[in-house]
Formats: sequence, structure tokens, C-alpha cells
Amino acid sequence: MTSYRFSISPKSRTVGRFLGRVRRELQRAFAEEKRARNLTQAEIARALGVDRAVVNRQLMGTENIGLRRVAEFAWVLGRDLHFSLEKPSLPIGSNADLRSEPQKEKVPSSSGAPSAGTYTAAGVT
Amino acid sequence: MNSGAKDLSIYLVLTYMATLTKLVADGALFEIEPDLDPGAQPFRYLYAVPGFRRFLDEVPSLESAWNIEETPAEQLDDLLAEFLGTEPFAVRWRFGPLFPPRGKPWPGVWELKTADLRIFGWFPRRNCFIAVNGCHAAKVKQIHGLYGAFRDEVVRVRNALPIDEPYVTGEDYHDVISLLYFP
Repeated sequence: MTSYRFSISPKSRTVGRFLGRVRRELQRAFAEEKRARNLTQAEIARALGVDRAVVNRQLMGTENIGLRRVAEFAWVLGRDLHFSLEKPSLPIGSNADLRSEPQKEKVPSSSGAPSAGTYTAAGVT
Repeated sequence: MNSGAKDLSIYLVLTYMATLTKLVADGALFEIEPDLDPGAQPFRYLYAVPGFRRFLDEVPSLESAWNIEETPAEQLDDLLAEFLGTEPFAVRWRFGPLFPPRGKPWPGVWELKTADLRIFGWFPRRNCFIAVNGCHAAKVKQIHGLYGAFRDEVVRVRNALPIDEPYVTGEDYHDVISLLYFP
């Protein structure tokens, strides 16, 4: 066996990835606010009227998070919420491989252009 | 860098990467392929030793110790999509180092994490992880010394593999993941 793909049912995959995406959005917004205005989990907890441990567990993913709490997090983090259901715009298999050939990964670029290994995004260190 | 040194560095990189590829060809490692959503792009690499397959086969039967909506299988699927794609990775909540016992040198062992799962391995280079073993998080926390046993197993397996430059020696999160954030 040279490769393996972990597969679950399409339903489970849709559910798991959606829940993961929602949680990551909250985590990243929290990380941004923490950096920008030193917002703490304790302050979020006070604003929401819950224990700090609840905020920690919900951000970490060890406690379920309902739609109401998602909206409350958005409010306390100063974020607008957008929700929509859209038909897929890309067919399955539309995945351009961003990874450089392993052999080329660490070869310095003569043009100075960033390689995949130094990719950064706004708001992320 | 003069041309001689550049040639040498290219040679070393080619030799080193050929070793990883050869380990896959020889069956000492296998690659975990990305199963990304349409439009998402593979960015990082994930390999595993053959024994890791036992953990992958076990995950669908595991239950969440936190009684949360996501099953461990859904958590793993999401983790793999996040790691192999372009998602920024959350320091400590998604990955972290396994520290050595006091007084011992840094072993270069890391774990990938979900709410219920822990995956132990090392980074042979940045954005490239080799998984050795995995376990239910509750079990790891419950059994004293299990973290150390997994850490030592990673080192043992790594030492047995013929890789010229076996692991990223840096302890900084940026040494192993290039796109990350600190929650």
C-alpha cells in the first residue's frame, strides 16, 4: 500500500466539516480579537453570562455549540454573521495541487517569489 | 550563496526527498491522500508508518468521550482536510509538541489533535508529518505514562528509518507549520 484515503459517509463528511468550519471561524476571530484588543475568554464568558470553562470548551470543540451561541460569539467578537445554502459551483475533483514537487520545495527562488512553504494569509502569523 | 553551495544544497534536497519517496515505494511508509472539498487545494503532506493503519481502521468504532455532535471519525476527516489543505492550523488546539522528561533532549515529537483523538509522529520537514500511532484522547489522559510511551515509540520508529535528516529539530511552532495561528 503506497497511499490511503480516509473515507466516511457523505452525510458524516458534510456534518463534520461544517461543524469544524464554524468552530475554526470562531477560533480565528477570537485569535484576531485577542491580538487586537487583548480580549480574553473570561471577558467573553462575562459578556455571555457563562463560565469561562464553557467558552473554552466550546471554542476548543469539546462541548457542543448551538446556533444561538454561535450568534452570541459573533456578537461579542464584533463579527457579522452570514449564512447561506448554495448549490455546488465546482465539480468534485476540482483540486489544484498547491504543493510544489518535493524536490523543488526547498530550492531558493531566484525571483524572490514566496514558495508554498512561506505562504501567509492576512491575519495569520 | 555561491553556485557550488547552491548545487550542493539542491543535491542534498534531492537526495533527502528521494529517500522519503523511496520509503513509500518500499512500503516503510504510506501517504495519506487528501480528500478535499471541491476547489480546496492540497498544501501539506501526511505520511504514516504501516502500523498506523490499525488506528485508522479503529477510528470509525470510537465514540466521543465528550458526548459531542462530531464523532471521532468525523473529527479525523475534518482534521485531515484541514491539515492537508490550506487551512491555517491552530497552535495547541490542533497540534503541539510532546516534551521530553526533565533533563532529556528535545525529541522532535509532535501530536495532531482533535477533541477526541491524538496522533503522534514527527515532521521530517516543514508542512510534512509522519504519523506513527494514534489513540483516543481519553485513554491517553487516563493511563499514566502513555504520552511518554507514544513519544518514545515515535523516536524508536524514526531511528529505525533510513532518513538522512530524520526530523525538524526546531522547537518553534513555525519550524513545522508555516501557516498557523495562536488562539
